[in-house]
Amino acid sequence: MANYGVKVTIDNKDISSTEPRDYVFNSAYGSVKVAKEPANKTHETIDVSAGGTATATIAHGLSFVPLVMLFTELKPGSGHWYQGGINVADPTDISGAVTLDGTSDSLTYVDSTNVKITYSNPTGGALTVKYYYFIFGDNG
Amino acid sequence: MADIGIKVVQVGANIDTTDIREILMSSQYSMLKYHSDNTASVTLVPGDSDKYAEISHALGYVPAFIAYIKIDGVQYFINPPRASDFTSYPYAWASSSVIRCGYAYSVGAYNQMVKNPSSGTDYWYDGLGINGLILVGNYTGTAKNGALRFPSVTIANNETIVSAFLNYSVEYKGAGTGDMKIKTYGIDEDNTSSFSSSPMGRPQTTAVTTQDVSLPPAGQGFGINVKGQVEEITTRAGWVSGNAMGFLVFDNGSPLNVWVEDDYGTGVDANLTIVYGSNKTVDFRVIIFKDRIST
Repeated sequence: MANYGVKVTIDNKDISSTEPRDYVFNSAYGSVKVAKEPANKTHETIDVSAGGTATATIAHGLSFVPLVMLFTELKPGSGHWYQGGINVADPTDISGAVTLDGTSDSLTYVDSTNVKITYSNPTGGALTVKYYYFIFGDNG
Repeated sequence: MADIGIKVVQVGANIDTTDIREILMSSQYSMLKYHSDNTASVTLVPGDSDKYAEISHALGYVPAFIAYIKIDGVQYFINPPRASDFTSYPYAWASSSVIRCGYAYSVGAYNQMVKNPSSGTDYWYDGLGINGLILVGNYTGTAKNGALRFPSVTIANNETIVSAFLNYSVEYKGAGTGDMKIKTYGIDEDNTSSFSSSPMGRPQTTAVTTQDVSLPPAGQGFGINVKGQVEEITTRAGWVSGNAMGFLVFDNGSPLNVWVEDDYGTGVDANLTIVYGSNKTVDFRVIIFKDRIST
């Protein structure tokens, strides 16, 4: 195959480099494309009742199980956004924080239709939880 | 908007493909923009329950990121633990100024062992020659002694002992005034047996703690430093992790009616807390993107 395509290197790297990390973009390599994220690139929220659970369902519109990144401000108002997955907060944030539901792994998942995220609220008051996601146009 | 922009597809794919996976780059889809690649480490010291490192990003907003952890010198992992059935876990969060990566214990602390007696026969009150409680001090003018036993002490033979405390719970105490005066020995045996009869004559460690205790109110407790006793027992040639360890507590001239009692199975039982071993390094690697997830 002829050596054709599009390549862009980072500063001071030669365009003939064989090191993938030297490239900003190279059509020889796949790139992770954001297929969906919250509207206007603004986090979404979900209300979780005291002692209850709540599930966010995000239809991704893809025909396959995509790669997903999820971030949650587990303790509302803390300004601390956790990467996750099933996640447990920093000990300083545990009081007043939700968890991603840990009673069953199946409550937070992605399939070929939806991303589903279930939050549990062990506190005595209702919580409004902020979350942000990236759904990528690549197989998860 | 007109269908304009840049699109690059995989070799063999049609430029009009509707399968996003065949598209290498398209101005229709954003991509995460790399900001920085960072490493950080924390050193867990025995007894630590939470240690973290922070990485500044100077973006002024909360960025997307990926954090990896390497522990025990093995692989970097991204996934946090299950939300149950664990006692320690890594965490990572982003704020508008830093990424914090940490390692925390939801139960206890790093290299900390806490054991309670497991039955009434692990308590001995020599004043009445009975199990189920320990009472030491001056009880109506008479010196009272007792013993406690802790089964399944999971400290390896010759392990480094950082600290060891026998924590005594005050369920009842006498009405006298002044400090309670006690002496505490370890039982110098490999695997001391339960107290089916008086253990007060069992071999004593050379190490002894002589202590004047200002007794706290009922419901609270006090600690007896037994590091030397624990070291002496766990360095015995026959000591094996999982064996039982015992302590003998003698009155040492307490004032009239200055005594303390702890009953097995009610309130908070006594415990033996040993912090042991050496430090452990936990490594983090954090990829930070310029993409904003919150202000």
